[in-house]
Formats: sequence, structure tokens, C-alpha cells
Amino acid sequence: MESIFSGRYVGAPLRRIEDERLLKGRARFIDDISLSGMLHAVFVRSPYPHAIIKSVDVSDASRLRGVVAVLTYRDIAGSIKPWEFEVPSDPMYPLARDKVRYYGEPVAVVVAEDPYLAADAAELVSIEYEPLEPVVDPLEALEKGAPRIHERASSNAVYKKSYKCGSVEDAFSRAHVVVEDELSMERVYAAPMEPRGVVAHYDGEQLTVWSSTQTPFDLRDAILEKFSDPPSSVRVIQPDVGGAFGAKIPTYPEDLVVPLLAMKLGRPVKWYSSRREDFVATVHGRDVRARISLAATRDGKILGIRARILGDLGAYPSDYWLPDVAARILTGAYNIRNGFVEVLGVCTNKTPLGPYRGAGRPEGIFFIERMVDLLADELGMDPVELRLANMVRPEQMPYKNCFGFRYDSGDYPGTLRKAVDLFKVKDLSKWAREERGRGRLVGVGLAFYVEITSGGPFESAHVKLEPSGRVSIIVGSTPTGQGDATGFAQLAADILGTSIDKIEVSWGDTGLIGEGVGTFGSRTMAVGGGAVIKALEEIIKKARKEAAKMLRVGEEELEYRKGRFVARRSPDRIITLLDIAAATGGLEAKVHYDPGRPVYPFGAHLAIVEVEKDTGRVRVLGYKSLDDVGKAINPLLVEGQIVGGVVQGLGEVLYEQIVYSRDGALLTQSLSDYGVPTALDAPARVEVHLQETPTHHPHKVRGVGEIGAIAAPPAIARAIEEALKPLKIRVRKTPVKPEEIHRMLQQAGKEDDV
Amino acid sequence: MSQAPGNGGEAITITVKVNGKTYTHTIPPRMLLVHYIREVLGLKGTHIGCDTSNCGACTVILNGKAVKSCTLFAFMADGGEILTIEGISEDGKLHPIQEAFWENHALQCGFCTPGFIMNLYEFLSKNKKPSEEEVRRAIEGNLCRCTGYVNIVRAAMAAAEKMG
Ligand code: FES
Ligand code: FES
Repeated sequence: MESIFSGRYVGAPLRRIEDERLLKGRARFIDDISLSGMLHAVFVRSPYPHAIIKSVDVSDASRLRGVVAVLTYRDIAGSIKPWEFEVPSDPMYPLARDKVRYYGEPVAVVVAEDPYLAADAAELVSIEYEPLEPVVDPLEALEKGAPRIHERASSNAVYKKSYKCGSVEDAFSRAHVVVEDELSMERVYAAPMEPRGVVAHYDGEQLTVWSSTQTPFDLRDAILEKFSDPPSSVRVIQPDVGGAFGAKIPTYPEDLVVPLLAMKLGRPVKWYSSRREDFVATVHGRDVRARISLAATRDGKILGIRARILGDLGAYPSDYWLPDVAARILTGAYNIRNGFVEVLGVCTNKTPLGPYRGAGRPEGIFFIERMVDLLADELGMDPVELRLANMVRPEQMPYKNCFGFRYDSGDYPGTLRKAVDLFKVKDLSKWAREERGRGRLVGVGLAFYVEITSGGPFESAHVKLEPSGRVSIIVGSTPTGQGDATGFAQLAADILGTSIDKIEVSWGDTGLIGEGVGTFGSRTMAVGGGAVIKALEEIIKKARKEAAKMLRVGEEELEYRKGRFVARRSPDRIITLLDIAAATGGLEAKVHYDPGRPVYPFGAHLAIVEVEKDTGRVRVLGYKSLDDVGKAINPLLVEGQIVGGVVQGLGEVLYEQIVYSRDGALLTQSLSDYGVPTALDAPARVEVHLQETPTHHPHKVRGVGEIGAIAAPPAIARAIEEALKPLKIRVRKTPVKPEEIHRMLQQAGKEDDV
Repeated sequence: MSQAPGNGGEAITITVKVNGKTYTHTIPPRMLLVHYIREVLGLKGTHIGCDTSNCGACTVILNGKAVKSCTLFAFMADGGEILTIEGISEDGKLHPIQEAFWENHALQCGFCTPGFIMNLYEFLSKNKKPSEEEVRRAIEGNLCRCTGYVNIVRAAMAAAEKMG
């Protein structure tokens, strides 16, 4: 087939086909769904992080006018099976059975004619608890005699694993220099602007569920598997989703309880989370800490790495694999051949941990990049030179890292050198030095990352070329605002040689496409786009057969170009795809695409910051990136992903933190307490550079969704460290809030005048 | 929900002009303006993203001023004039701010977008040649988690230019 890169759409920065309805206020987000006779559900949540439920009295709530039902675990016990996890732990019930394990765990649900009444009634549900001692700090959770969270687990450390390569003892004994540090990325919250919500409707046969989710297929399967009396047919629809960032991957208790209510009550039911509720009821991210040692020679060759990675999984270990990813990506872009890493996943009385943009890679990359900077400072070496001296070289590709990840391709040192040029690192560093000399606290920080995309089993696509020339593409991918429909349409328009206006893309409906996987892990344009291409190829193959018949030539005689088949030896024999579609009543193909193995984007980011002396506030004055995203199908969207991710990473370094009190209450329950960045915090512009090293996907895409969130934290952390260079302050964790920097500045001010 | 009984005191009758049309409704006194707009009038382009007046997704124009409609009771708008995102494009033609958002990829999920646009609608009508810094200050009360704001500011500057 001809190259898909010769058309006019692929590679062009087109504005999005998704936007018009969003701009006019005509989108359909979860809370916009209204069905006739619809009831409203409000969940009653535990005010204790750890407690036995002694009794629940729903009588007052039930008596309130307008209340239709109040349910507790006992009312649904026979109807929904609990979650069982892969590591030792007690099951998680959709409504807590006899014990709650985190502040905000759902215990009862009230259903009423309107949401105001449901909220009134929820206040009247009276629950008697016997509080148990909570454990909030994962290190304390590891101590002997710490409160045990799961009776079935022998300790709170429910997940333990280690990885190694080479001989780490030998490496450390040979080393001239060993640097060691403790680092952490604190607990954060994805904070999509739309909280979660669910609507369900049962007509006696089919159960239709709308959920603000990234994984409608998982939700459908969960309903079929967990309902003891499932309906004969289940359709899950993902409406427009107002941001997700990984936090809408899990299937949540409300995703099952609301549909069950609709079935039990025979009326549609809606639940739309308040923001406050979303803070406790939606997974948190990161919360991983590390102790790491690097062994190196005097001239900067890294000989070995030793680390212990500890993840705070919260109350239920649904996503125990997160610290594991952080551990396995820990060697970053570097060729380190001796290593040992121990991973621990620990349960505490907090909201369960789950994926958040990057899911393990931001943590691992933050750790290694901070360590490499530390080593550079220790050796008195230029951090860029140190990185170059240790990077995996292009001739080593594909390269299996120390802990088993197989990097597919790329020239890391070449990319870093190019970044140093493009970013004008030398000039910037000189400028920062001079400004510091004048008393300004400015700094420039650079980081290099490797990251993983294209995971998950496969993706599906169903493409139809109608006799009218219209093209319908239905995908198993489930984008939540990234703009992938536009990208898919660009691919299709070029391959079919048609106008993009003829193409319609649909997604997020198990009733439209039976099997699919979804949008997460930067896989949508890579794997989902791969599926669209495979389906288009299939259509062209079918069309070729028809064309051969219609033109009476052999199939191999036909050349396909931009929507037409031409007979090679008699170029006057031409037939268009459109003619074929018209003659055959349309052409269609349904495919699954399985890329078999992941791909690894990589690149360098640079931040320029200034610390305000009086307040400790950090301003990001400038930001630059060079990312190898493989083929950029639509550079406008690629840039959008990078910038959005960078500002999330900026928030993570400067402000955002989920804070619990020592007795386990969540203290950050509003967007301002929590610290989502505003327009005043974001850099004025981000200078984005792209590099396009091909991958094994048919369209050579590498993926881009999580890059910004992975690369920004170590780059900004280093820039802050540089700005505070006169004070010799190390940034060991995220966030470093203005008040902490202010304190450091004051302390240093006391010691000597800065 | 307007007819539901026991909804926090005696019902109130209000008259408001929304997007050029006059409506009279009897509503519970505790009903928030954002719920009135969404649930009673069915104008779902105005969104709810928080319960602490932080996000700005619910921003509409009330009597010429951009307000967060989740911070007002519906009865407080009695006798007033409201403009929502549904009311700013004339004959299906996008408003210059909407155009500029589209051209500059200033939206991703689009959940925050109506709030930003309504806020800028007031701001740009009063500030013909704003600086970038002024735009940033003006939209500080609107949160966007997807775009990183860079393109929103760019779109606002482009719209200011177009609107002259
Ligand atoms: S809904 Fe968040 S400010 Fe109104
Ligand atoms: S575009 Fe998603 S929150 Fe702004």
C-alpha cells in the first residue's frame, strides 16, 4: 500500500473535528444525561478511616418525603460480588460490609426524587461505628504492631518483589563514589474538571449504563461478572468525558451500585459526584518513595544502582503494580548493568491508589534524574556530560534494561545533544549565573526521560465506506478530550484519498463495537490508530478484489493510489473506491490490532525558573521540550498533550498534595486547598520541538499523552535547585511548596546573607 | 426538580430573561442558579465542576457581569438578564471567542470551555486591547486541567484582535 504520509492530512496541524459541539455548549457530559422518571443517588460515606460498622439505621432517612430507597450492604449482599485482589487482602465490597478502611468509603446509598432531597436524606442515615486505630504513614504501617488493614494479609506490606541484573555488590565495591538519597513523590489527585458520575436505565431486558469512564468495556464485563443475576444484555456508554488522566480507568463501586439500583427500582438512576466527594472517592496517584544509591567511577561512569521503592497503596491494593513500574523504569535512559531494586506495596487507611498520568514512570524518572544530578554535583561534573557518558547508545537498541524493560529504538545521546543545541543550554546557564550574581534566584534545569506506551492487549476498529462515500469509523479507543477522533479521521482521509469532511468517528459505546480496550497509557493514537489503519487496509484489500473483477485484470496488476485503482499496464483502466463502494453496496472491515510489544518515547525537557525571595514562590519563566513521539499525526494535538502534561507536572512540583491528618481525615477537599495550577502559574509559552524516530506501528507513532507529566517534575526540580544554588538546597520530593522554600530561604538567611 | 416538595421552604416565583427569552418559574428557594439553568431551562452547556466556587465551569453572564452561577441562588436572578454559552452564537455562527478557541486548540475535553468563554465574553467586551498578563489575571478564577492554559491565553488574544 502506498505510504499514508503522502496525503495532505497526516502531519498537518488541523483544528479538531470534535470541537464545534463543545464550543456551543452542546456536548453531553455525564451530568447532562436526563431520563424521564430519573431518580438521584447520594452515597453515605465513612467519616472514619478505620472502623467497624456496628449498626446502620436508615429509618429516618427512608421516611423523608421523596426518598425512594436507602440501601446498605445487606440489601445488595446477594446481588453484587465483591472485588478480590491479586495480592493478599480482604475483599472490597461495593458498599462496606462490616468494616471501613478509608475516610470516604461508601457505606450506604440514598435514592430520591431529586438530588437535594437525596442529600437531605443522606444526612439522616445514622451509622454507629467503633473506631479502630488508623495507620496513615506507610512507614508506620510496616512497623511491628501497626494496625492491620487486611485480616487476610500477614502484614500491611501486601506486595513485595525484587529485580536485579549483574552483580551489584561487585559494582559498589569497585566504585570510587557512592551517592545515596531518599526521594519521594507525594500523594496527588488527578482532578479532572469533571468529577465522576454514573447514570443507569433498565428496560426489563437491557441495562444501559452511562459512566464518566475511560474503560466502558471493563465496566460492561464487570457488571456481567459481578452481578449474581445479570441482565440479558448490558450496554455501557461513555458520554463526553471532562478529563480523566488515568483516574477514570478503574471500575468503581458506584459504577456497579447505580446500575443495580436502576434494576431493583425499575427507574433510571443518576449519581453525579460533588468535587468534595470526588477527592475521597476517586483514586489518588503517585505516593511512592525511594531510597537509592548510585555507584560510579571518579570520571562519571555509573557502575550500579541499588534501590528500595515503597508505594503507599491506600486501603485496597487494586493497583499494586504502580510502584513496580517505577522500579523497573528506574535506570531511565542509562546503561546501568548492575542493579538491585526491591519493591514494596503497603496498605494504609487512605483512598486507594490508582493510575495518574504516567502511572509509575513519572516516579521512576524523577528518582533517577534526581540521582544523576546529585552524582554530577558530587563529582563536580556537568550534568549533561554525565548523562551523555552513561546513556544507552543507539547501536545497543533494542535494549533490555537492568530490570527487564525492552527499549525499542532511539538515539538518546544524539537527542540530548540536539536538545542542548535547540534549547541554547549554554547561553541560558550563563545568563542564569550572571543573574544570580546580581542577586536574582534564577535557575535552569534539564531532564531526560524514557517512557512506555502501547501497552494493553489490543485495540479494535470497525470502518465502513458507505456507497454514498461517507466513511464511518467506530473505535474501541475511548479518548477523553485528547482529540484522537481528528487524528483517526486524518489517517482515514489520506488512506482513502477522500476529504476529511466525509469521515465520522464514534467511540465509547459497547453497543456500537463489541470488543475494545480503551484509552490509557498513551496508547490511543499508537494502538487505536494502528487498528484504524489495519481496518482501512482490509477495506482496500476487499476493494482490490472487486476492482480486479470489474476491470477484468489480475489483482496484482492493480496499483492503489489515493482512492483509485489503476491497472499498471493499461493506465486508462481506472476505478475509484467510491465506484466500488457504490457498486458493492459499501465496504466494511472489523479488525483487532495487537502491536505485540510496547514502544518507548524519549526526550529532554528544560525549565527556567525564578524563586521569589520574599514569598518562596516559584515562577516558571520558560519551558522547552524535545520529544521523540514517532510520527506526529497532528502536531497541534501533540503539542496540546505536551503542554497540558507539563502544567500538570508543574502543579505536582509546586503545589499539589493530598494531605491527611494523622488520624486519617482527608484535609484537602477543595481544588484551592489541593492546589490545581491556574493561568497565573502556567508558563507563558512552551517551546515544543518534535523528533520522529519511527516505531513498529504501521503509522510509526510512538505516543505522547503522558510525556509532559513525566518530564516536567525532574526538570523543574533541577531548575529550583539551581536557582537556590547559593544555598545548596536539594529538592528531594514533590511538591516543594512556596512555604517550604520560604522557610529554607529564611533559614539560609539566618546563616549568612543571601 | 423544581416541583419537588419539601425543598427547603416556600416556593418562589421568578422571572428571568435568558438568551433573549423570558421565563417565569416557581422554584424552591434553595435552588442554585446553576441548577435552574441546567435542570429547569435545560441549558446544559453551563457545567458544574466543584462545590467551592473554584473552577468557574458554571460561569454565565448575569446583568452584564460574569458570575459563577453555582454561588447564587436562582431567586437572586429574579428580574435579571442571563446569557449562557448557548446564547452567544448568532444564527449558528460562532462568536469570535468560540472561533479563536477552535483555531488555537484552546480546548481538549471541553468541560471548562463554556466557563472560560463566558468569562472572556465580559472581559473582552470591556478590555479591547488587553495584555497577556491581564488576560491571565482575568481567567485566574477558571480552572482547566487539560490545556495548561497556554492556548487559552493565545485564543483570548486572538479573539481580542478580531473583536477589535
Ligand atoms: S461549579 Fe465550580 S465554580 Fe461553580
Ligand atoms: S479542556 Fe479539559 S478542563 Fe479545560
